[in-house]
Parts: sequence; C-alpha cells; structure tokens
Amino acid sequence: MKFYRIYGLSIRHLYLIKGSFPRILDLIYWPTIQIILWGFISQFFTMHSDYYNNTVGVILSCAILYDFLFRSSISFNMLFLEEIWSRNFTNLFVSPLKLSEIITALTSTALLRTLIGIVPAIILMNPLFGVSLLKMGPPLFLLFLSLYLFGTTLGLLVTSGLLRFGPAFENVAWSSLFILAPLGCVYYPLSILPEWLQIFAKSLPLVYLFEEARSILVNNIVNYKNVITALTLNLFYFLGAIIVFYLAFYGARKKGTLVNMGE
Amino acid sequence: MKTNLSNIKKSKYYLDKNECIGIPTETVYGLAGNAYSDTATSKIFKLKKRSKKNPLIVHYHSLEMMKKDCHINSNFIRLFNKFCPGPITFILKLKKDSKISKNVTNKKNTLAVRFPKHYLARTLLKVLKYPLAAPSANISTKISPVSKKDVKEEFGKKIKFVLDGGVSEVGLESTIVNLTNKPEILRLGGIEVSRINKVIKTDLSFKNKKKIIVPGLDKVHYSPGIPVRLNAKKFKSNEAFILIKKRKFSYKNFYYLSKNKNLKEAAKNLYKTLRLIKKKKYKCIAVEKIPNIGLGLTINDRLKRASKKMTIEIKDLSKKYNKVLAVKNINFKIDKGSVVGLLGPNGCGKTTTIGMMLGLIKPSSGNISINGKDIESEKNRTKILEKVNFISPYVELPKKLTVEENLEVYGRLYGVNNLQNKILNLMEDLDLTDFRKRKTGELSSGQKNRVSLAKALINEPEILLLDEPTASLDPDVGDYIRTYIENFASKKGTTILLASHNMNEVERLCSEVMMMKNGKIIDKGTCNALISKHGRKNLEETFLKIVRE
Repeated sequence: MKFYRIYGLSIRHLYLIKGSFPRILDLIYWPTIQIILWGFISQFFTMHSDYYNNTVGVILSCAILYDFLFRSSISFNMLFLEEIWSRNFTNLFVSPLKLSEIITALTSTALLRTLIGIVPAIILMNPLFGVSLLKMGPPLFLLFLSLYLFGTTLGLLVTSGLLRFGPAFENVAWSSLFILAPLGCVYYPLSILPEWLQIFAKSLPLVYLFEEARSILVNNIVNYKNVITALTLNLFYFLGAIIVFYLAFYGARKKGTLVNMGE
Repeated sequence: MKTNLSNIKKSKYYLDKNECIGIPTETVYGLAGNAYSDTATSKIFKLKKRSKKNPLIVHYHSLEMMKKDCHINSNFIRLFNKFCPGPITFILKLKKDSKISKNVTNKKNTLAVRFPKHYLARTLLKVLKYPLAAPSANISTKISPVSKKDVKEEFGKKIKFVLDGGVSEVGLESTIVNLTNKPEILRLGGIEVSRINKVIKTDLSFKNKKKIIVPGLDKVHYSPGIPVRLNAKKFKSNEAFILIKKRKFSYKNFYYLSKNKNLKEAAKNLYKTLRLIKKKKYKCIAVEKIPNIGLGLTINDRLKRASKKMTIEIKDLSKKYNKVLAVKNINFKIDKGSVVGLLGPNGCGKTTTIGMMLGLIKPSSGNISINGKDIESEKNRTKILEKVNFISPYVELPKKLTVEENLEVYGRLYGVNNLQNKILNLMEDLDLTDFRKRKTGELSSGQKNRVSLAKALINEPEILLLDEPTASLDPDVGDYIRTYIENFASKKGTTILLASHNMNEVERLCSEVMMMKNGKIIDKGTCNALISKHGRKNLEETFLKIVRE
C-alpha cells in the first residue's frame, strides 16, 4: 500500500466537501434534526416511563449512536456512488490504485464525513437537553469504534453489490441499515424481541453495543464482555466484508461491469 | 589481486547463514546464495524480483564437486578443458540424488553450471562446502552490475555484504551452451560462438528460444529504463550517443565503449556506460552501429534486449460474455514508440480489448503482456498501470472538482514527483491556466477534453490507450488534440493504441493499423499497404470495404 495513493483518493472527496457549502450543511443537517426530534421524545419518556425515569437521555444517546452507525455506512456508500455518478469510476480503476488502498481511503474519508455530521449534534445535546454523551467515559470510544466498524462493513457489502451489479444496486445502498435496525435493538432491550428473532439478533454486534450503552447510562456499570463480544463480531464481519469486496471486484472484471459504469 | 582473507571469511559467514551476498566474477557481479539451500535460493528470487520460472546458474570451484550434481559428457570435457574457469555456462543433466535446491532448476532435470575465473570468487568457492547459485546482482530486467558500487546501488542495505573484486574483466554475462542433447547455444556471452565451434567441431549458432530455459533470455532485459535507438547515424541533443570509434568532434553526450572498435574493450564498458547514462537522466540512448562479429554479436544482443522497452504483446486473447464471444483469439504486438490504430465498426470488440489491456476486464483466455509482464498478475498490475494512461469521451473527471484539484488527485494516484510544477506546465501547455480554479463540470466540451488529456499525461505514460479521443469535438479542438498527442508521442517515445472512427486521424497518427470485425483482427498493416492491398483510394474506403465484405 502506498500512502500517496490513499491520500490522493481521500483528497478527491475532501475537495468535494470543501468546495460545496450545501454538502457540509447536508452532512450536519440530518444528525442535528435527529437529535432535536429524539431529544423531545426522550424528554417525554423520561417524564412518563418507569424504565427511563432515572436517566435522562438514554434514547437520545442511543439515537446519536445509531446515527453515527448510519452515517458511517452511508458515507462509505456515498463516496463510492460519487464515482459512479460523476462517471469517474473507470479513471480510478485504470490508475495504479490497489483495492486495499481504495478500502483504506474510503474508510478514513467516511470517518471524517461522519464526524463532520455527528460532532455538532453531540455538542448540541448538552445545551438543548442537558445530556452529555461524553459522560459515558472511555467505553464510549470502544462503542464508537465498534459502530464505525459495523458501518464500514455494511458500506463494503453494499459497494460490493454496486461493483458486481452496477448502479441498479443503488437502492440497497440507502435501505441497507433499515433492514437491520429492528434486530439491532437500538431503542429497546433484546428481551422485547420474540425468542426466535433473538437468535438472529444475537449474531449482530449491534445488540451487544446498545445493550451495553443502556447499561452504562441506566446502571452506570460497564460490562466489558459485551463490548468485547461486539468488537470481535465486528472484526469478523469486517474481514468477511473485505473478502466479499475482493470477490465482487473479480466478479465485476469477469462480467465487464467496470467499463463505463455510470448513470 | 591480493586476497583479503577477512572478507572471504565474512562472505563464508553470511553464506553459511543462508544469506545472500554480492560476489565478483569475471563476467558481472553475482547475487550469491547456497545452491543447496531452499531458504537462500528463495531469497535470491525475492531480492531480484525474478520470475521463479527463470532458473539460476550454479557456480562451482572444482569438477569433482560438480560431478556430485550433474552428469557430464565428452563435449563438456572438451569445452571445460579449453575454457574453464571462464565465462561459459553449461546446461547438463541433473543427477537424481543431487542436493541442488528445486528453486534453482525450476523443478527441471537440468542444471546450469559455471566455473568462474575471478580469483576472489574461486577462493570463496574453495572454502565453501556447497556451490553458489549466483545470478547477476541486479533487479530482474535491469542492467547487470560490474562493480561493488553497482551492486550497492541496486540493493542498498537489502544485502548484508558485497565482496569487492574491482571491475569485472569481461563485463558481459557468460555464454550458455546446452549439452543435454545435441549441443546448442542458448545465450551469447563472454566467449564467442566461433571459438566454441572450433573446440567441439560443429557449427552452432544462436537462436532465441520462446521458452525461458536459461537466464537472460527475456525479451526485455538489461534495460536502462529509457528508450534505446540502435544503429543510429545521428543523435539528438537530448540523447546520449554511444560510440565505438573516435569522432573528430566531441560532445558532452558522447559515450565511448571503445575508441578504436575494440570489441573486448567495448564489452567491458557496456554496462558501466549504460548505468552512467541512466544516472544523467537522458530521454533516449542512440547507439552507433556495432560490428556484428565476435563479441559484437553479444553486445548487439544485449542492446536489442535493452531497447525493447514497454512493448505490448497480446497472445490468443478472447473474451466471452455468457454465450457471446466479444473478442475471438486475437494476437498482436506493439513495439515501443509505435502508434497503432485499432479500427472497426461499433460492437466489434475494440472497447473490450482496451478494457482487458487496462485490467478492467478479465480475459476468458489468452495473455496480455506489457513490458514482458502479465497484467493479470495482481503484483504486476499496479506497476504496469503507473506507466499507462487512458482517455475516453465516455469517462469523465469529477465535475465538482476544479481543474487544478482534479490534476492534483490524479497526480497523487500516479505517484508523480514534483507534482505542482508538473500541473503548472501541463496547464500552460494545454492552455488551461485561466481555468485552473474553475470546476471541471462548468467547462465546454473542448476544455473538458483538454483537462482529460492533461490527466492522461500527468504520469508521462509510456503507453497511452486512446478510445475515440476526439469523438464529438469540433474540427478545431479535434485538430488541437491530435497535434498535441502527435508531438507528445514523438518527443517522449510513447507507445499509443488508438481506437477511432475518424480515418483522417488514424492516417495522420498511426504507423500501423489493425482492422477488427466481429471480435477478430481481420487485417493489419500500414495505412498505405492496406489501401493498396484492398485497391481503394483512402483509408475510409478501405475500412468500408473490409467492414461490408
């Protein structure tokens, strides 16, 4: 891997953000709206729910964590879709870029895009609703890391589909995370799900992540077993997604879909 | 030369530990490792970035030791008695119980053996309990080293030690004789074929083999990394000029192999001179005609291989999409610096062919070799693509990025040095300076096309693949682009494959044309040859005749 090529692909997307105020606004807009919406809902629940009455902002915190996951995944997909929409795809794939460099560049740029959107929302939580996510302490970093890995994993799987099946796969890019959200137990405990669904849910790192986030916020207890299980599952899925991405690339080369991929 | 025993001891120490070291021989410096050790021989391939299919020559001190590994015959005895130790290598049958590493022989039942003459090499071999596999101590396809300094330049700290034995006396690799069946010369080298013929009383001559069964037979080898023009009578100001006879006037770009046509002296100076020229950053090397006799045959052989840089070779290439055969078993070769046209009606397989050459499409069968390297190998792909670029009107640059930003992004992807200057020069050359801060999407078609051209030239490609580069452009802009490409190619010696429907463009730019129809190449030749062969007035009429037949 060469750093200059990773940097080259990264600045292609950073220039895109830098040169367009509406793009920056778009990145910040949705997480902020989410926070305001879920802020009021969680205030309502805090006042009327036994479960939440000890802790303000459990839902709000889970909402921001979920949004971080959603933004990391969408950012990764968006970076890839940008190349297809701008008909620049072929230029990239005939350059000396390696697949590993593409993955590294998109992963790091997606993180930056996500942070641009999510940091203002986190900052707004305190003055608006008196909730500070940072109070979760060091485990928060591990939760974010896990979510970021899972978001990137989904991004890799969706882009593999784009590579293999072309722009027609775009709709899946937008809906991918919504398919998993009910099983992820973002806003409710795992026990809410029917038992047979719990089996599937437990194979997702999201369950452990959000269970742990609630546990920290409600009981102020950190169970590192959950955090480690989530990280392990994430690493496993992430490596699997890299393999799928490579296979999709070779499949696309065989099928000829890399040539003139565009709108 | 006196033997420095401490250096011999040091060499033995590293070799015993299965390390590779540089050793002097009378031909060129070798990268030596224990020939019985898989570890040491693997390291040789890795350091040299050498194909495992390319066997290694094993160096012995004595006949007794060699007999443990090979079967010998009467021709071998005669040649051994006459020329050994010296610059000659024999291919012999390997004994079944030989300890030679399988890496050395490429799992074949033959072995290349040599008895070096250099005093230090012999002293070292004498103290070892094993023979040394020692190919030339350079990265594969590059210029062979003839001094310790050359070896250091090639490998730096990657090898632990180089035994200094001064400058190699012969300066060219050994002559290789195959003695497994009927004797044959496999590589020209330090001993003239005529001398070998006298000893074994036969009339051997050298024919290039298609399969690499001994080292140094790659079509691209001994390359200084810049174009080499052979049999030159004149030279250009940006070229280094290699001479073999003293001229009345002298210029700073004159490099003498010999001043009185002494071929032995010329052979000794060849690699040293090529290395020196490479450092001076000339754009091309012109070489005066060298007599094709004696060692001159070897010098010319090396120069021919050095000159064959960045060629494209397509062998039996096919592509099948489901049941549709888009490209059917095509074969062609493009030499360095040629501009070749690929013509054919829509859907004839041109874009698929170019896609395969760029590594975008996986061929169903066949082989694409660029500069002797297979683009299908993931390892080669990146290296090849660093030297290649591509333009097509169907592929665009990011519209929301400015001209300058787009060029910066691609400059970085191609690892261009001194990028800012390169961008400024390209923008000036292509009249883009006034638009440098404008978004690419806001430009006119002609301006966008010039930006795409700048992107395609940012890495100074050695190979440029152009897919209808002037399609949909007005005649003025089209002409501008053609003229620019024409000048660039002639200045840089770029190899170009041009797919186009514009026959005037093809006639103007291309030295050769290939006609494609239904996935096959149905005819090829120069424009004039094709026009006259088909009895038409121009290329357009010729194209129509071929397509409608």
